Amino acid sequence: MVLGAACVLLLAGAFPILGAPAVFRGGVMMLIGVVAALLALWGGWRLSAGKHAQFIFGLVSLYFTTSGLITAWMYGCKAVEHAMLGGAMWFGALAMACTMVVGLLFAVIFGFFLLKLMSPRLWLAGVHWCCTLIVAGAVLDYCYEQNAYIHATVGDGDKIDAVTTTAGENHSLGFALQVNDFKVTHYDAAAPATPQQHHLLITEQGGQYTAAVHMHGRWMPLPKGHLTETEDTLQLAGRRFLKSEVKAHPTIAYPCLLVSSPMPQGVTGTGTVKEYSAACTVFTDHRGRPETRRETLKVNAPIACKDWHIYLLSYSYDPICNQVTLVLQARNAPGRWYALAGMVGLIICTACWCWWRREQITPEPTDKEAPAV
Amino acid sequence: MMIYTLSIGSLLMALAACVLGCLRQTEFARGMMAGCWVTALALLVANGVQAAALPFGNMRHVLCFFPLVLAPAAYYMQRCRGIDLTAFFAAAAALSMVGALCMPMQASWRQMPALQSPWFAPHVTSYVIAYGFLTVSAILAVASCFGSGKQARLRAADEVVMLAFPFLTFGLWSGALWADVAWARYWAWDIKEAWALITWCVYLLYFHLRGYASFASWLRPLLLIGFVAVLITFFVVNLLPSIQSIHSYAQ
Repeated sequence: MVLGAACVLLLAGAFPILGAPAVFRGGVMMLIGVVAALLALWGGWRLSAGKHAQFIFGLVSLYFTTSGLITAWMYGCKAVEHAMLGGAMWFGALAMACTMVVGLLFAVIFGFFLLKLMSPRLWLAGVHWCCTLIVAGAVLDYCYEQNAYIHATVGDGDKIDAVTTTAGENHSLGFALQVNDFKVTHYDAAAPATPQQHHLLITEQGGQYTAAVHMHGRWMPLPKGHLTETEDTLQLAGRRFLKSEVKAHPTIAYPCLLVSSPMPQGVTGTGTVKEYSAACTVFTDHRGRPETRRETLKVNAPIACKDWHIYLLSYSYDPICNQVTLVLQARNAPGRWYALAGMVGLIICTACWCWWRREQITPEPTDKEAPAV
Repeated sequence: MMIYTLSIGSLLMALAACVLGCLRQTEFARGMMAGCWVTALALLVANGVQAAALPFGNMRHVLCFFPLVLAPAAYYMQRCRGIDLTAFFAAAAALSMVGALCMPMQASWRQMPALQSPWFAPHVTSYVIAYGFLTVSAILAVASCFGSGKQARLRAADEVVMLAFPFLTFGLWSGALWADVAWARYWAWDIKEAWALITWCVYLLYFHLRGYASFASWLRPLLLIGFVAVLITFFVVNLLPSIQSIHSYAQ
């Protein structure tokens, strides 16, 4: 089994030429994972033999110790953030001190039980069970995870409340998301004091209408298909104009219509992108009452609502329509929390086993030399 | 110019510490290792100033960071575990500095949005510590094939691996925790991830076999195979031009 797993790992995706990521995401890898998880479960069970109650209470203590530390850290950070955003300093300091004290008290009390209950052997059992937890989460996600890619146009007022998953199924999100604004910042470039303007020009020459967009300091004519014409209206970049709005202009030889609109901040900037974020509104409900939340969607900071996570993956800017389209991913992963808890547990249990161990390497039977290095 | 001078200075001090350690001039070796650490610290600052960011932007930056963690680790092993491994840690530091000098100089580095995360520094640092220690364990495994004190060297290699493995575990799974918020999935089966998992599995196999006398002869080859996997994860995956990886900004 080990050899089979090694072959799959090495030949299926670990080399670019032979690479076949589909194999990794397929049933074979899941099967290997399940077998490994069952072996880890069995190994953990054997390692904790005779000390199951101690082990379970040890893991509960580990959970509360970690929770205490995370509480102290997260709420301490939030208090500092509050003070930095202009909140009262004394409030920030007080809130930070209170949450830190409560969190640390929790960590100290349960940490004491943890140290009393867990032996190196039980830490090793913990390592095995955390591996099982990771695979259990991965299997759950493999079977039930829903992913959908959403192309959302900034500022069009549309509310996204349902998605079509990559498997082709339609799902209601249970809430609605609206993308209101978008901002990009670049390295080595200061943001302009006033928003840059986007200009479109429609001109009429002998009954023929043409359009141009102002880009890089000059007017660029648009291909014919962009401007559509009906009896009395013109449609360009998703906007409708009356033909009567195309009028004579003192400095231009032909009748024209200049359409200006503010550009999303930083989308035409040059250099390395430092950060991009979208201001969103989430329309949801809380205990049966409607709730509206304003959230900032960024890379590394997804929005979470009702079992769904919305991630910002990338964006594109259409210079003709002056529209930013965001590529979002909606994800509902029921096994995520199990996998993440397993990962955190694995990190803690491995460190505790390796650094507080009392086992020594088994010597080679033939070697009888002095212990000088 | 200053960066090259500091790099060469750090390399020479690491080499001197290695030679003095092999000649059993313990005090001088430790002094040289301390000098190497100070030079590496100056190098880190110089890299940081030049890049105008945290100096983990390319492989040269990361390789320059190795002596900074290896020197205190050598001191820790001697002080807390009672094993003097200065020569081996110095050899690993020298190897990393040779690698750093072979890498091209890139003046500036900008953190792209996905890298702007609180996970970035701990993830990279833990991998640097783990890879540094695993290099030492591989050197010890090779050294345990020759001369006197074979078994003691193998035991020392085991001590170093035990020290390194939690860092390797943290590096691997903290990367997964980070990917969960940055890439909307905690595991993408990217080539770098696959090789990091292979490396982790090799050391996992080592831990499963180290308790059995019948597998004692497997430990040395496993340490070396593990080190080869480290080299592939760190160098080959990053430097082979044909490889497309979502970790490509680490090149």
